[in-house]
Amino acid sequence: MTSDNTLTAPLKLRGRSAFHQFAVLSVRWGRVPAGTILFFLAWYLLSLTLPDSRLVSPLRVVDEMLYNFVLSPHLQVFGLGRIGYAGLLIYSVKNVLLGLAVGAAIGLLLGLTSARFRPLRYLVDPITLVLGTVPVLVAAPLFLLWFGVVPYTQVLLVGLYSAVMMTIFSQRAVDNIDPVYELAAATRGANWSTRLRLILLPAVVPEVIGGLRVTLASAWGIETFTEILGAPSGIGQAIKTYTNVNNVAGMLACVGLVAIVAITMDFLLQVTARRISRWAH
Amino acid sequence: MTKLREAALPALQVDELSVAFSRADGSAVQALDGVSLTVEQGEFICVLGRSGHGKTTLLNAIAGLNQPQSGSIQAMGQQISGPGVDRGVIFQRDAVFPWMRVEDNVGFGLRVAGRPRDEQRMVALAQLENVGLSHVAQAWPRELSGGMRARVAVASVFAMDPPILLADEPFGALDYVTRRQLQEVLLTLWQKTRKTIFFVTHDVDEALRLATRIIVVGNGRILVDMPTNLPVPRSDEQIASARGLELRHLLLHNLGLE
Amino acid sequence: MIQTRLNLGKVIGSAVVLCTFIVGWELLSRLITATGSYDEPLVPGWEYLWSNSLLRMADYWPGGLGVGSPMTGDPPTYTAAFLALAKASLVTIARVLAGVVLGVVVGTALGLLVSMSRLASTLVAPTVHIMRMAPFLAMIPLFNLWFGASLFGIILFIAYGVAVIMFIGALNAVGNLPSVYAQRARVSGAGWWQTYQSVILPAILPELRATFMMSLGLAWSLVVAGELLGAQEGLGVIVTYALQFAYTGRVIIIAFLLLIYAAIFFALAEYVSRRVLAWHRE
Repeated sequence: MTSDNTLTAPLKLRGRSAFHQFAVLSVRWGRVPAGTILFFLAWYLLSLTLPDSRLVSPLRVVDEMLYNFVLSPHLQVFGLGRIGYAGLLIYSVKNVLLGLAVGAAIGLLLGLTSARFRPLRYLVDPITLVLGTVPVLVAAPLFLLWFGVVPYTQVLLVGLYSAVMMTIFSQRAVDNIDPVYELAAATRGANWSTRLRLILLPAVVPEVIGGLRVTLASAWGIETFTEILGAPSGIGQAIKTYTNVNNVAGMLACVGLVAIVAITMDFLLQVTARRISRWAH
Repeated sequence: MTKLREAALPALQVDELSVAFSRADGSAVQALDGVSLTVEQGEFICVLGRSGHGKTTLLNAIAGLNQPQSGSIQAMGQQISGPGVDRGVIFQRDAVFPWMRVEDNVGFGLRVAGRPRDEQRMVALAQLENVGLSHVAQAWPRELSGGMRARVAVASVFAMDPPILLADEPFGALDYVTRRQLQEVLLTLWQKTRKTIFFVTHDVDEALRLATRIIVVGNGRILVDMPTNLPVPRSDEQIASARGLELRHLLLHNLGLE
Repeated sequence: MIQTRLNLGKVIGSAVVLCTFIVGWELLSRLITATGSYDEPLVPGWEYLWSNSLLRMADYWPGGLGVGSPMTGDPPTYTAAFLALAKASLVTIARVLAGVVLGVVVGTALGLLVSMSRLASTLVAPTVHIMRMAPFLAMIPLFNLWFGASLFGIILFIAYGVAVIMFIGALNAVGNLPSVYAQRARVSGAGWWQTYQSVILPAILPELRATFMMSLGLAWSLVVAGELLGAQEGLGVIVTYALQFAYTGRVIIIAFLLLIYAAIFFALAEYVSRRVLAWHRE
């Protein structure tokens, strides 16, 4: 089975001829300025041709983000209390982290053990098959009914999703390990717990962290969406509020902030992955 | 050009060829340094050399797969500027397309050239017959062994009927017996068609068995360029003759082994 | 020839899970007898789900085809219920289908196009990365604003999500190809169109299949989310109505339906891809 690195592997970039040097060099220096500049330029130009009710310029959005960051008069008016984007983001980030941490821990445990212990696998697989295909989102309204408009709902949903995803990813990671390593260890007298600790765990780290990054990206979507549905706080609530008054600048600002936070978290994960498993790169 | 003129052309003319690469850290590697050589039509050249000393780079340059810094390469009198159907290639890595049946793989070159479907089939089946694989014409490559896939690669290249054939360690991944069989197949086809073959290998025995002329590349330069003067085809006894042993010592010495 | 026999362990495992679920749910519904507003139990048992929740789906049938509608005073019937569900299902399924097809075609085509030039992939990479990391679900309100929450709007939304995933997948798949394939195409005299059509595209299908399955899952999430946030028709809309009255049972039934539909989609996709990839070494 193809180890699914399609979404976690970096886009392949190789430049050679002089003509490519400009874009490629600037990619290597400033991380990604050429392409990023292009993105914002395109956005800016597009916003000029469209009315403000459809699209506002990136400059305006940045302005929105900064102005409303600590304390936002809008949000106060709309009933979210004395708070700014920062406060809302903290709520969302807390939920995502909590849900991800707990869910991923459970998923990792289940995945790693079921990968090597057949009977458990036969029980776990049908569950992950069902929960993996059905959008966990269908549980969102259900949880809302059961638990109400509390943070618990979001954490549970993110947690459930993370648990299912990480079970699948860690199972796959273990399945992809070349059995020769464990065999070699066994012939040198290592028992199963030693093999687990010294061979299995280090070997799965790159792929597991790859899976974690994918899970994180979707977790943000789930968190934001659930907040839009109904939550005491969170950036999703701001989006919902702005939707009701057709404030495109505000909506873009919120989405932009979520994107920034998600990208940052993903980057941090990537860096951690590189340090923990230097051997893989 | 008249047939007479064409027959007198060298198959390959390499003049002062230099190829350099830049490593990941930016430093430059001079893979080939002012290499010159002439290959006449119908020769079976084997190129030996230690890993990383330039033999594959030389083949890739002739195939048109890399960009030389200086020098020129002419194939049949024409300056080359990239890959072409006049220089068929058998690659080191398995290049049999897994998504095409064996017959379609062999007929691929003809399909690209726009030949009609029945001609593709006919030629493909004939070539498969030549390599002894007509019974698996409709099989998927994944069903074949490594040796069979190597035969498919040979058949595919001969199907395009190029005057020059470049082979980059094509049998390196095969076990000894299979390798001997493939060498037989290639030799037979060469004798029938009298193409010019440029065969890169790291295996001294293989070179001694196949070549009419052996070249040893070292540090980006040609160290040895000798006709083998051995009969075609040759038996193990002939390879172990005085001439054969003399050649072997020369080669091993230039490869740093004696 | 090795035939794959039904793995006894898998069958038993699945059976155990299923039974545990069915029995466990019933037990839970007996234990938790609390009710929400409008006297709907919070954890409805199987009997209630069948006789009440399913039946009352007829409420969403506007009438027609000779079947009475509770909206106009007729008593609820199972026929009306099934018709209501069928109609809503068709809308939802149509959205997913259209969105997936559109997204796959556009995403893959663009990915292949960009893969042709290193300069292009360098320039496009950051934009695509941003588009991938910005949560799709958070952008539903934006899409609603831009394109409306109609049939077209949601299809476009699904297509967008699918296209981004397929774009990245196609680009990565091309990059992961052994270079020898493209080299062989070149030395055989193939031009770029022929190379892409007969070499690159078939070669990336195995990796694309994995990406495709992922985008299928995403598409179902997007359609559910999209319909929950303001559509006029479809299964998600029934859920929205049910939410207003805390009809837990109905939400559960829709969840089951979605499960079944998604499973069918995946099974079909598996089957078709297995046929198309008959040549692939598993």
